[in-house]
Amino acid sequence: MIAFFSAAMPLAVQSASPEGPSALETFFDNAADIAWGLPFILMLAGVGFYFTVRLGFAQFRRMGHAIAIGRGKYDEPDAPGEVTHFQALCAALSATVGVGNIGGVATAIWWGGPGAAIWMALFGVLGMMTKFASCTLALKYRVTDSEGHIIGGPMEFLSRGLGKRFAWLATMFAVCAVIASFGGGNMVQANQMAGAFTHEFGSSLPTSLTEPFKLFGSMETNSLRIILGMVVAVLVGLVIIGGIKRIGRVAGVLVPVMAVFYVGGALTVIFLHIGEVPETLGTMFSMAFGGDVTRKAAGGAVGLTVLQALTWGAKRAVFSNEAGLGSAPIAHAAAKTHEPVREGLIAMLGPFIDTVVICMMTALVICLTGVWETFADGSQGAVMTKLAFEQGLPEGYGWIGRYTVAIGLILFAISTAISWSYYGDRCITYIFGPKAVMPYRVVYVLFLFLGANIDGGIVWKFADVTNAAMAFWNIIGLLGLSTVVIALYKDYFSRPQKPLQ
Amino acid sequence: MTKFSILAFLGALVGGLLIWKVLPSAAIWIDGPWLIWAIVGLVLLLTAGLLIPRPTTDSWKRSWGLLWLAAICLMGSYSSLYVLHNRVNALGAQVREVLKTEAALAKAKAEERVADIESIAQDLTAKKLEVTSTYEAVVFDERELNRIEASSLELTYLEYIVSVLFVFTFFILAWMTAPTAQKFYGFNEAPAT
Repeated sequence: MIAFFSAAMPLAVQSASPEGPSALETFFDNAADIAWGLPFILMLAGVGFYFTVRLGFAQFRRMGHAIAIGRGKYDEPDAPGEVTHFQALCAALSATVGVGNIGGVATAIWWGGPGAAIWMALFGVLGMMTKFASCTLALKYRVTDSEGHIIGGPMEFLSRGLGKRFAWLATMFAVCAVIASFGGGNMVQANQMAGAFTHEFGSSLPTSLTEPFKLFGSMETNSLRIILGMVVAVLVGLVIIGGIKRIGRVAGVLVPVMAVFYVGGALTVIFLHIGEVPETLGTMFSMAFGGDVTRKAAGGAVGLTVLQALTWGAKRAVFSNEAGLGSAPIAHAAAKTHEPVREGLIAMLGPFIDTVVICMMTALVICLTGVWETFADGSQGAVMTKLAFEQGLPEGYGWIGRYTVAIGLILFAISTAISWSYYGDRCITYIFGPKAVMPYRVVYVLFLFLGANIDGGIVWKFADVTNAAMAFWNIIGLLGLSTVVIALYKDYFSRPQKPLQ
Repeated sequence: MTKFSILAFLGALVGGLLIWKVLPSAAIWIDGPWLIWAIVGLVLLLTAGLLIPRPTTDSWKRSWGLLWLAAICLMGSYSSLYVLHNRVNALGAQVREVLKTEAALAKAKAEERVADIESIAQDLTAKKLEVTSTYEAVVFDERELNRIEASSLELTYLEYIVSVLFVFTFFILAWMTAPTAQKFYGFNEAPAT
């Protein structure tokens, strides 16, 4: 990180014009792009591939067992922990299923062509094993804090698994996670939620609500955003105050509802174009591996290469399912079980549901409607998806598609903010102890209000960098303790696994 | 730990060879400090490879430190290439735009649209000035555009090579933290696995 900061700074200063973004903004733009760049993607893909090979393609062979765990057949109500396997999965999924599933897919397809969606799914499959390994380790090395709550995740397996010599890696991870929880997990989500609501419903409300004014002297906002900020802060506050038990219960209802709602909308569009599905899928596969493609967007035809498809697919897959970042293991560590591998197996369903199922649904809608070819601005991913849903439905019913995406965005943003508070909560406990939890939650809720009203700019970019940095510390732990993961896996499957319920 | 040493050597040699092989032929636009970062990173990786097989706590500390430095240098090289790539792509877009405007001007002249000729010519001069204020040596023709596009492709390859090298270095660094590796180097307080 030091290197790319030092390497990017002089060029950032050069490229900043007086009218354009400031040098600092350009610097943080570059830093965030580099942090989420090729080395980062290859590193996460490499870890996924390593565990896939070492565990003999367990994501395919053990899928049935993982689903049985999710259905509660292996629940141990009296085991140490705070939530069931399913609630832990939902808490982790509510953090990962978000804007990446709506806007991220569209961006990948716009920049990389329909083939990027196939690469996204493939990287999702690799991510399943990364998540398996990190969640297995989180369970193995979890502890209970002085207030009786579970604390587990990379900070625990780095310090307890690798030994005291590496405790500084654990602290680095925890610091990065706390900062990231205020950025991508909190303010960005509140802002997206307020933006989606204002864009979709603002025009039908009294203009006095959407009229801009300055708050605290410099914060440009409007009454609607203030109300939305307060509502989301209160809603999230009510949930997170109850800790992981309440988060698990709420996520256990919210995640299936929002997944069914969004996937249902996507399936409706897909069924309306069912005749074209085989051809579209064929095109997606051929563009992923076969050859280059031309997008006839406004402003001239643009050639897209296979390499672009791979790069963009990988980028958006990592952004969407967070496999390797080390965030989901914090939620999974709270599961009631004696078997670390069992939680690892259900955790690996996360990237499958997020990237292979939900992202592919979005991709199919975008490709079936042909919006990817004609849409002019690839940076407006969510708008592109909204347009695809609108055009995919018969004339006169387009508004249903538009509202599906808008409501999906709002629900995904709120659920992500809920789960990320728990990640920050556990990491701040690791650094300062349980006394820091309540002040953290209060600040977290205040930041949600702020996020709904301001454009964080540099602060968000900085949080993006720390978000990516979490993976660097986590991966040291994953590879350093890979023999532990493999030994636990072999031991678990050497014993007969009969359903407990 | 010999396997890590072999991995470090192989990685550095193959990476170095690939960079040399891809090293710009048509790419007049590839400059900047990326190559220095990459060379220093490769040298550090090779040096770490020499120290890795010695089973002493000191050699662990030195090789682990060197691997961190090598990873930082390789990330520095990638950062430099990334920023450069953005610049080359932006230049390509600007040159493409100039060529498009030149074609529009030629068409307007052929069709004798006097009013259009003047405005398009002004637009063309402004666009050319914008490019040459940063890159004096740019020639506005198809050949130059092809060279810029070739540079962009070469930059993509270089980004991939440097990134793979970074990942390689980082993985060795991570594997060296394993409790079994700690025991090999004589750290008595290494946790049990």
